Parts: sequence; structure tokens; C-alpha cells
Amino acid sequence: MKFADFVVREAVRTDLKAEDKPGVIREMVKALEEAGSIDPTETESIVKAILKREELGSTGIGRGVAVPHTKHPSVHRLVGTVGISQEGVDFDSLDGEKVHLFFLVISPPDRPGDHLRALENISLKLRNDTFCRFLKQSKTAEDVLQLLDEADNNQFAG
Amino acid sequence: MQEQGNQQLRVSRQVRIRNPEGMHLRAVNLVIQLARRFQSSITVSNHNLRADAKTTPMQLLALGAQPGDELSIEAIGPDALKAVEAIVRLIENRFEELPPEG
Repeated sequence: MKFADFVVREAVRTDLKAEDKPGVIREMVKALEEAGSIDPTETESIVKAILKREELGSTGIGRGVAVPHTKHPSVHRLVGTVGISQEGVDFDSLDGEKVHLFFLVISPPDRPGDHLRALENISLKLRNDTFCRFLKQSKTAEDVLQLLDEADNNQFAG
Repeated sequence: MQEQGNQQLRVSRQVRIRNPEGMHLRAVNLVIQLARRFQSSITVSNHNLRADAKTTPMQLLALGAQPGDELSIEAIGPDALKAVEAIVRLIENRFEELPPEG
């Protein structure tokens, strides 16, 4: 799976304002709402579902990255977005590091495989130090999208 | 084979993913928690990728282990045998829960 298969380009944010976990999740789900990718009447329900998932264990995956996610019946295909917090947010990650880079993913309940493929792709690409560092340093959505496109075209080896 | 003293053992075993969701993030976190109980260095491999089982969830998630995939668990160190057995058991038990410590 590629980033282009699930990242909603209009919902990418490089200036997340929120300073805590619930705030970041809400801000990113709102971005998907503003991009027209989710039903506005379902926004609160989606935020709640993602926070509930976080209660089972942080989705921080190390190196200042987190992948908050949930299944939700209101989406019919995998949708996701990328958010960057310049200040970093405490996300209860296993390694204790603040999180600067977020990939939020919502998947239809009947397609668990898609969701795993998205997390696999994110993790696989972020193993490349250059890609991970450049993404975190991105100041505009255009920068992020260009990096994701380059990763999709395998321009970052390993 | 019995483990003794500071002997450096190398043990590896194959195990197939059986749960329908594959090795998802909660499963990955359980593997890391369990691996960290052992002294041995532990790696998990799938296809051509190898991940350190004690570092970040990112490493193991990148294996993209799906139902039916056969993983190779390898440990090197004095408690390698116990480590591999424990991790194989967790995967065979479909990541349902960690065994009690000790």
C-alpha cells in the first residue's frame, strides 16, 4: 500500500496547535472533516473511538511518531492524514519521547487487512532516517506531500 | 538442551501468524514487553525483513505480518531458549495475553 492510497491531501497539517493527546486527535479528525472525507455528524464519534483505542495502549511507535487509529462504520474506505506538531506532544509512547509526527488512520470495520497494510507502509518508510527527519522538519503541507510522493516512488531506500 | 550459567545460546524457531488481524500494534507492544523480560537479544523476521524485538514498535510493525505468514524468531544469549519459547507461545495464542512474569 502507498501513502497516496489513504492520505487525504487537503487534510495534511504542519502546524498542529493542540498540546495534549485528545487535542491533537480532535484537530486531525477536524482536518479530515474540513476536507470532506468524513461525515461531519460522525466527527465526535470518531474522536471518541480513537481515544478509546489509545486507552488500550499508546499508538506511539517510537522516534517521535504516533499512529492514532480506529475502525469506524461511517467510512467506506481507508482514510488518513498527517499532522506535525513543532512543539511535540506527550503521547505516552513506550520510549517516553514526545511525538512530533502523527499519522491518523480510520478504516472500515470489515477490512482489517487494509489498516495493517497502512501501518506497515508507514513503519517501513519511517525506518529510513532521512525520510523520517525531513518529514518532521516539514513546514508546509506541500513539503509533506512531496516527501510522501517520493517515498511512494521508492526514492528513499531501506 | 539445558541452559547453564553464562552460556551464549543461539535458538531459532518458525511460527505462523494465526489471528485474523495479523501482528497489529497491540500485538507488537505485547511482543516488545515480553522480549524485554529476557537478557538475550531477540529478532523477528518475516520475508526478507528483520526487526529487533526489544526496540520500537515501528521495527516490528514494518514486518507487516499477516495471517498465514511464517515468522522466524531468533534469540542469542543465556536465556535464548526460554525467550524464543515464550514469544512463539504468545504468537500461537493469538496475542491474547502475556504470560505471568517469572
